[in-house]
Amino acid sequence: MAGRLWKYHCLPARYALSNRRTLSLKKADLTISSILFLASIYLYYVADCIPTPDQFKDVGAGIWPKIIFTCMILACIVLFVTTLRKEDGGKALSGKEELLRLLMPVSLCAAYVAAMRWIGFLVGSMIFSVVYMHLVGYRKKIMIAIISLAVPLLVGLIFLKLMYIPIPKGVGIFKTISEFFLTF
Amino acid sequence: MIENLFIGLQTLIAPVNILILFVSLIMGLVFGTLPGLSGVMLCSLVLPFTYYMSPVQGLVMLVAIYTSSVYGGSITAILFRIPGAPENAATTFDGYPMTQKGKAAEALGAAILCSAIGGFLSVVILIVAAPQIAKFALVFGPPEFFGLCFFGLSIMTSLGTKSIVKGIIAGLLGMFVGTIGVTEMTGYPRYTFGLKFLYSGFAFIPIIIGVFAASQVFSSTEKILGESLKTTSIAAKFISLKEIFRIRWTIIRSAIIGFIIGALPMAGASLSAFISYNEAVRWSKKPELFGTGIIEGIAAPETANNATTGTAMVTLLALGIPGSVMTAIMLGAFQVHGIDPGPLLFIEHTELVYTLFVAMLLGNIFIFVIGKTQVRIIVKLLNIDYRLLSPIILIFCAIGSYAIRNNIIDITSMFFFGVVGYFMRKFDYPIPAFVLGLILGPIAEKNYLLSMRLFDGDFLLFGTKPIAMVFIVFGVLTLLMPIIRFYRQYRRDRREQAAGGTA
Repeated sequence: MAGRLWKYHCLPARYALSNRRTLSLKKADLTISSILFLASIYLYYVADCIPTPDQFKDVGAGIWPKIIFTCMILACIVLFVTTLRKEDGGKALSGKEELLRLLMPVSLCAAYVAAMRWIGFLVGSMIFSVVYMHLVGYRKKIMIAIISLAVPLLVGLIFLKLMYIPIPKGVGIFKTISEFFLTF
Repeated sequence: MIENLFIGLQTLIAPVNILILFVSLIMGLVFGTLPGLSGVMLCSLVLPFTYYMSPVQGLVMLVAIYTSSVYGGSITAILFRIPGAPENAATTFDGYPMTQKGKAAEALGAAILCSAIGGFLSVVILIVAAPQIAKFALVFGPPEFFGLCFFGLSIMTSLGTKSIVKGIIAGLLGMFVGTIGVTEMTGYPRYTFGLKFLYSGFAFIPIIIGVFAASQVFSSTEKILGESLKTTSIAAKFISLKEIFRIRWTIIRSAIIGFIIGALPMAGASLSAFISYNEAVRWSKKPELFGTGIIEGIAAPETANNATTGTAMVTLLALGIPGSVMTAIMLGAFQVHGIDPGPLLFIEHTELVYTLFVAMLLGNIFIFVIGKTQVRIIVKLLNIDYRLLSPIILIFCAIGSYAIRNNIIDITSMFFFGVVGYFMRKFDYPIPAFVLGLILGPIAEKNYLLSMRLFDGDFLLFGTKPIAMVFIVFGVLTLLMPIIRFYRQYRRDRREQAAGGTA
């Protein structure tokens, strides 16, 4: 598949060249199976503490999670043992740079969701689109402007006017701006 | 049956319904074609919209997307060796070599024709078989439904393409997420840890949107396609009747493989495409030609992957168990409209069911008629930069998740599961297994608890229910088969190593 890794403009240079500690698939599998194993033991205990009314005998709200976590514990043991015995199967993560490349869209999404309550869906989506496209290296300003304005407006109009679903409008001045756009 | 089909046709040809059908067919074709997008993603994005439509409109939309998206991915698979969706991966084996030989038009024509044949026959089987299976399913009680769910859940061992155990772990994680919240049977909150927003559990739709759509965007953003695919003006050319007759056994065999695998819960079109390609090679008189660019190499996977569409709907409509990831999303659409798929669906919602049948028939005819002329236009869409598309998709993900309960928490959970889905892809944990556990887990639990109440807590009384036992035995065999296969391969490898050492 053709493609290139886009340059992560806002990263400090040291992450671009050095610190290329990769996480091998083997190490990842061992870590994940250990974490899931311990988590399953704890969650099994939580399920065991769920009270069962007398008329249901042993078949209460806790039985199904206990079945799930018993199977999970066994599966984690099998995964751990089989992973230990086999050779390394390649890279799961190519280094901190790869994780940081995930961090960008996820942080942006987290900020988008957190801000939506205050600045509303329309304004939030417009800002989100502009910042996202800029960070992924898209530089055609006219297209950025058109997409950032048109898509949130179109989506907002479809949901509000066609489907009568209320969308977050924000508070204060942002609410005024949202209502201004939606009057069209 | 014919009378019901006419009623379905009458319902479908209402102007709004027919418009929804055609727009959805085109959207499914586009999403199925573009790499990084998929019919599953589109279904998960439009699912919240269906809540505000009538059941007929919402389900016709999803069924249309399902029908056309499976075909769409073959275009880029043939032209650029980039499958538009996983089920088109096998099409690249002979599709791209045909393009290299200058026979792209014939390859595209073969893909359209075989997709239409496989899909059409599959819908015919659906129309004939589903009501019969529904009648049979009327004898199902909680033990039988539990057995069926258990069999469905056992498929998770086959969904981990690189590791059986990872498939099981992914499925169990999905089942765990399904347990969060207040239980239906006892009213006790589980795994809420005092957080009020978890009392109602996670909404199903934001999780689906997150693990399929958002996680795909996160993965694709990470290795973004900087250069858009260079497209050329191209049209499809149908193969001759003589050629179709020559490859008739490949088409028939692949269609049968697709029918059978489509009926297995969550097995999916990609499994059927690979199996039918393998079988086509095995049965061929000239197996060495496969991979060099021959029509059979396209006919086999494309017939099979479209043949799954109808039979996957059989298990959904007749039994309420999804036959694929797409039908799992459709199950969500049924649930938001308060309709329970299963044997009573054919009695209580006959018009809806037959409207869906007619929609699928028309969809396959559409692929055949329009597919040839639309290829040129669809190919031009490959010029769209993914960096433009990705924020648009995320905005749709956000508003789609919000629309279900008008709750921003659902958007948060959507992005959270998007991150979970991203890491599942990275570490080779199959997302379909997770979704399988998420959907079937609660149904299995409910029927298990009801059965245990019926049996007064004695699990051995399942042995008095023959239908349930058949499903449970099949489930155990399905769980064990990959393990047995793995162990036999391991013993064979050891023997070969030992023989190689002594030689």
